[in-house]
Amino acid sequence: MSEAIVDINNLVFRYGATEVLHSISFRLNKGEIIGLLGPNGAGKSTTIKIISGIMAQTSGHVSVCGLSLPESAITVKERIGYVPEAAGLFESLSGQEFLELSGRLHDVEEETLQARIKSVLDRFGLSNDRLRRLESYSKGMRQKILIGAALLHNPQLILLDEPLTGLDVDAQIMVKDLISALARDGKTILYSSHILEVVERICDRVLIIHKGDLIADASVQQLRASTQQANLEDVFRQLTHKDGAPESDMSGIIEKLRS
Amino acid sequence: MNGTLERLSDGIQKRLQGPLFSRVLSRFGVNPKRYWLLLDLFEKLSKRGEMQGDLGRQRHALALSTVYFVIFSAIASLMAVIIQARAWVFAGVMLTVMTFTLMAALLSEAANSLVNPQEALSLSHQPINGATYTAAKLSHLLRIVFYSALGCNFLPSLVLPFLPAGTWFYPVLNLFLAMVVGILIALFCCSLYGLLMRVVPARRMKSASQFVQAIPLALYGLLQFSPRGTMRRLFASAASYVAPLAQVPVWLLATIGGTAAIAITVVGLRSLSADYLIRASAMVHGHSTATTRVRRSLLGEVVHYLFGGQGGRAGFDYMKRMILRDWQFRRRLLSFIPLLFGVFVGFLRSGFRSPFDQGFTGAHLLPHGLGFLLYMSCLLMNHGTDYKGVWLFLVIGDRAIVQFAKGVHASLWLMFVVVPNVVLLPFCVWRWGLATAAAFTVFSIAVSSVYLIFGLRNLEGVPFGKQVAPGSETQGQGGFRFLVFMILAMIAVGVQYLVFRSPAAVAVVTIMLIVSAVILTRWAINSFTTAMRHHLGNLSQTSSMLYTEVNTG
Repeated sequence: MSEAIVDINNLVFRYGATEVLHSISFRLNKGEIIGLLGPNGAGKSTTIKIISGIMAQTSGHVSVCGLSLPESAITVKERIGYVPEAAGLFESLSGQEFLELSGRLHDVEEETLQARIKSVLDRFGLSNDRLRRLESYSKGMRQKILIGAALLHNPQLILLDEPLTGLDVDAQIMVKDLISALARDGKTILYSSHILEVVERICDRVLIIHKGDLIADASVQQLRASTQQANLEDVFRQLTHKDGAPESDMSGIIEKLRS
Repeated sequence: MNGTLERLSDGIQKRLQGPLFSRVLSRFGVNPKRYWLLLDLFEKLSKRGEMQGDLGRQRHALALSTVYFVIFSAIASLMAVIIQARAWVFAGVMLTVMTFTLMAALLSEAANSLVNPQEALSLSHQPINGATYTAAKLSHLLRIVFYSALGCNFLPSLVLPFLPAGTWFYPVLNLFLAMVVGILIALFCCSLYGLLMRVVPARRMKSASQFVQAIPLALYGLLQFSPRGTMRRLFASAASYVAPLAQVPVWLLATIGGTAAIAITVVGLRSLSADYLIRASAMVHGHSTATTRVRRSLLGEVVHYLFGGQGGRAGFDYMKRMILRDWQFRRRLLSFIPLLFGVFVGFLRSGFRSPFDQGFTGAHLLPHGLGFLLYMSCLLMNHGTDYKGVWLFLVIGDRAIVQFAKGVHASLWLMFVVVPNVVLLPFCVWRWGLATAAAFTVFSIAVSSVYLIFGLRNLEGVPFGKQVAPGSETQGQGGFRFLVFMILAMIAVGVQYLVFRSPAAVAVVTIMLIVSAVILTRWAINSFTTAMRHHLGNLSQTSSMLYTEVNTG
């Protein structure tokens, strides 16, 4: 059995009176790329924030790299790389300065840090823009900086929340290749996205969260076989729209707009 | 009392929402329905702490500043009665004070509203014209005018009839004049930014607005602290250039001047109302074209080796860059220009007299001036423009936070304590000799280091990590802290004056200060680290990371 990097048992998260996650359990193994899917508001980002030690669960057991959360959140944070969805940046810093800040906060030695920053900037095609302030960066360039910042300290677990947002086609291909390469290097990657084709292509396993419940935990092939659907999009649709097809809702909206 | 005021306010608002005021708004190109919708939106955003700090919408903060005005005007009125000042002179002085204060406040408020229009981004695709948006965005300035004019002039108006040359209608006239002057200042401030938007590229607007805000403060500093006779000579020199105008009748000059002022104001306001929302995005996302330089800072290396490794260096570089670049910080720091100007001019005017000389010298003020700058800077550093980037600190280990705190302390100590004193050292050696200069520099560094400890205690989380929102609590605490600080600083200046009568006393006190600074710095860094953890803890567990439940009841 592979080494478990993340082990979650009966995870419950409540925000005020609202229960966001209802007793979910799963594990992520070393070297795996796991897709985390779910409709908007399903609890994906909350799950990622709990795994990254940013938020504490209401109940249940969460361990990352053998360390319990939230007790060992500090040590866990040193071992993960996190690319948040739609994160703010220090706009008055340049791309180079932001990467330096991130790397230094993770205590990467200066020579190593500078070499890694150069490599990241070169690979992402940002070398010529490295001295420009982030406020002048496009959405895609910011996303590249965020991804780069998450990798500088060579983390064991990488949490990607919609990492391809805003990236052009070339950069998307590059990030996908990067994810595969990182997995081959033994990193574990939890990849949250709404772009199902990408998840289908690169992920070894898929977790689907719907309304706070984990409704699927299997490989894409297994899911296709069990639901008898041709692709992940149809699998997703079948599993998350059991209570009514979305088309009927759309036709209702059109009728209202016409009236 | 509050309930009555609320009912009164609601009553006035209902009246204003009627057809009469709507027709007035329409005449100026403002869509009344959307105007009231926007006002309602801005009020809600402000109550939920989502708006950038607008004094006019923060009722408690505004009430607090009015209380300061009332206290000041009460003292002034009492003095006017005691010395039996002439009524029109006293009224004129109070109006001038109000004009200066209001000008500085409104220039800053208008800049925050117009040059940093975060809300405009969400609304720029909506069918709202520039006139409607700017009218709604700037309505809160009228509230500032109302509170300030009343706070500054109500009590003086009451005493006017009892002063020489005072008559029964002076109170009403004075209040009316104060309101008119206040509204004119508000219009002038808004039109100024309108004109700037016409001539300054959008990406440069933030820098340009800071320059504009600094003008009245610098003038105030010049008036207050320049050597005696300087202003008179300046005015005389200016008068010689315009001497030929003395031949022109006053009424003609007044007419030309008035028409020009009205024209400038109208052009400025029209610029604002024309295509403001089209420019909003460029202003917010406008950026400096200046690139940064990759330079391995020598001080950064020092901090790395002496104050906490890579995390310390991160703290040092972060502070160095944010202090120079954060727009909100720089904007708010401008209000200290007159005081800094005063300390600097005071030091120069004293002719670099040795602190061991008889009498009070500028050298007695210098360490405390630096200390004051440190203390107030730390207060202002709690808030920043890029507060959303603070999530980065959520995903780092605790050791890094401790190192970062050490780096922040080191950066402040080096930039505000060591560097200024070392820069002044050659001048001091030149004027006082090596021994006195060295003794004073070491003493000054020790005193400023103690001030830094108090400053660090004011940092309530990751520096520049919170949105600017001057709530009543913050304002109240800030005012109280400032008062306590000023009293303690004055005592310290007095003690220094006494200590510098004996070199032996200076040596003993300096050693005591160094020991205290070393011990207390550890305590202050620990407190600062705890404050950062608390801030980040709140951030990770509260609404901003998930969603906010709004009590609509």
